[in-house]
Amino acid sequence: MDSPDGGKNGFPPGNQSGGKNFFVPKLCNHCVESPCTQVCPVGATFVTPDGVVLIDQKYCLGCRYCVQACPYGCRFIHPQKETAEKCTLCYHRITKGLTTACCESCPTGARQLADLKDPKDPIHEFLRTHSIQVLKPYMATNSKVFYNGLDGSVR
Amino acid sequence: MPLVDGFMYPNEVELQWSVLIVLYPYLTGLVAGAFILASLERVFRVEAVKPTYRLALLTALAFLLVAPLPLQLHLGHPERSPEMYLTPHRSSAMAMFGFVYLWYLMAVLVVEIWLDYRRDIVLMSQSSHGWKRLIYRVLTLGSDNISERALQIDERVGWLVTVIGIPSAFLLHGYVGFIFGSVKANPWWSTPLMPVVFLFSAMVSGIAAVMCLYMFLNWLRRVPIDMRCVDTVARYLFYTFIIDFSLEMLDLIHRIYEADESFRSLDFMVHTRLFTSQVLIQILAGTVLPIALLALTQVLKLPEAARKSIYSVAGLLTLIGIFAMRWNVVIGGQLFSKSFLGYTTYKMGFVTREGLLMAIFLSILPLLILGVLVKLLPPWSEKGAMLEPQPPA
Repeated sequence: MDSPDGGKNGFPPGNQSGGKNFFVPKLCNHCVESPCTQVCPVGATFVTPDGVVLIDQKYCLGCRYCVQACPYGCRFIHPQKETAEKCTLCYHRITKGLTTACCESCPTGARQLADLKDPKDPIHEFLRTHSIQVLKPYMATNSKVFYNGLDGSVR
Repeated sequence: MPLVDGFMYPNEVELQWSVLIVLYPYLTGLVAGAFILASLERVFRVEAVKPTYRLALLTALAFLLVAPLPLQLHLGHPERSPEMYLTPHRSSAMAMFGFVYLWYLMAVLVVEIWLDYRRDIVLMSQSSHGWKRLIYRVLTLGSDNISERALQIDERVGWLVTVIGIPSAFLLHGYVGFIFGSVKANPWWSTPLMPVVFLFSAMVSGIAAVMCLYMFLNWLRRVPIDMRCVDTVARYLFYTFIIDFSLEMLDLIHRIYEADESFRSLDFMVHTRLFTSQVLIQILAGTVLPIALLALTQVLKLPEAARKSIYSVAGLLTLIGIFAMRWNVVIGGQLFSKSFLGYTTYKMGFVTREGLLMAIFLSILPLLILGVLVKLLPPWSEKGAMLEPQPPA
C-alpha cells in the first residue's frame, strides 16, 4: 500500500488479522498528459521525443507547483539543489540501449521496460491479453506505467 | 497529535507550500477588494464612499507591491524568476502571474493613482522645498499642465482606466483562485468555484481592510468619521459577504452531498486537524459572527458609537476569517494524503526563510508602505476631511 510515516522508519510488521499485504512498487508514470509538465511555469519540465518526462535542473525555479500537481506523489524537491526531482526512467541508460536500473535489478523480471512506440514490441500483445491497470485512471493522465493484476484498493 | 497519521506518500510528509503561500492570496485579495471598493465611487458613482476612494487606491498599491515577495522568498531559485517573463510556459496557470501582476500594477493601479493625484503633485512640487520638492517634481513626470482642459482629460482617462481596472482586479484574484482550483490531483482545491470564491472573499477582505483603515486613520488624526460613508461601505461589505458565504456553503454542501471518494478523508480532516482554523475561526468567528453583527446594523437603528464599534469588530473579524480561509485552502490542501489514507501536520518555522517571523514582517510591510504613501500622497486635505477625487474643475 503506502509508506507509513513517509517510509522514514521502514515498514511495520504485516497485519496478521486477516488483512491482505502486498507490495506495489511506484515510480513516475511518465504520463502522456502529465499534469506536472502542464503546470511548470517556465517549461523546465518537458517531455522528450521518446516520451520521457524530465526536468531541466538549470531552469527549474523550485516553485513546487509540479509536486502539487502530480496525482501520484512522484515528485519531490532535492534538498541541496532546491529544484524539483523525479524518476528519469534512467534516461542516460535507455538512450544507450540499456534498460533502467530498477528493471535490471529486479530478480524475477516482474518489472519490464517496453517501447510503446515500437509496434513490434511484445508489450502490445501483453496489454491485449492481460488484465492491466494504471494508477488513478480517473485522472486521465494516460499514464504509461502498467500494472498486471493490480489490486483495486491501490491508490 | 503525531506528525503523521496513517499513510502518506513520501513527498507529502513535509508541506510544499508554507505560510508564505497563504499570505500571497491574502495580500492579492486585499488589493483586488480595495480596488473594487475604489471603483464603486469612480465608475458606479456611489457618492457616499468618496472619502475612502484615495485611501483604497493607496492601500491596493501598498499591498500589491508586497504581494510577490512571499512568492519570491518561497522559490528554491528566486534568481530564476525572471524566466517566468522571458520564457513563460503557456499551458501553466502560474506562468501568467507575472504578466497579470505587471498589467495590474503598471497599467491600472499606478496610472489611476497618478492621474488622480496629478493636480496635487504639481501643486506640491511648486509649494514644497528641498528633497520633497525633488520627489514631487519627479512624480510629475514632466507634466505640469493643470489647466481645466488638462484636468478634464485626466478625469476621462482615469475613468477609462478604472473601467479597465475592474475586470483586471477580477482577473488578478480570480486567477489566483484558478492556480489552486485547476490542480486536479488535489480534491480539496479542484473545483471551478475556487476562482469565484477567491474573488468574493477578496472583495470582502479588501472592503473590510479599507473600512478599518479609514476609521483607524481618522481616529489617529482626531478627525470625525463620515458615518454616511462608513455605513455605505459596511452595507457593501455585508452584501458581498453574504454572496461569499453562500458560495462557500454551496461548495461545502455540494461536497457533502456528492460525497465522492475524497469525502471521508476530507471530512475527517475538517473535524480534526482543521477544526480550529476552519470551523471555529473561519466559519464561526470569521464569517457567521461578522455577518450577524453587520446584519444587526442593517436591521436595528443603532446609535453612531455602537455602529462604529460593530464595524470595527466585524471588520477585524472579517480580516481574520479571510486569512483563515486562505490558510485552510493552502495548508489544509496539503494536510491529507492524495491516497486518502493519511494526514500530516504543518510545522511552521520561526526564524526561517518561510517562517512565522517572515510572515509577520510581510504582513506589516504593506502597512509601513501605506504609511509612506499616505505621507507622500495625502488622501485627505489639510483641513482634515478626506479629499474627494478631483472633479473636472
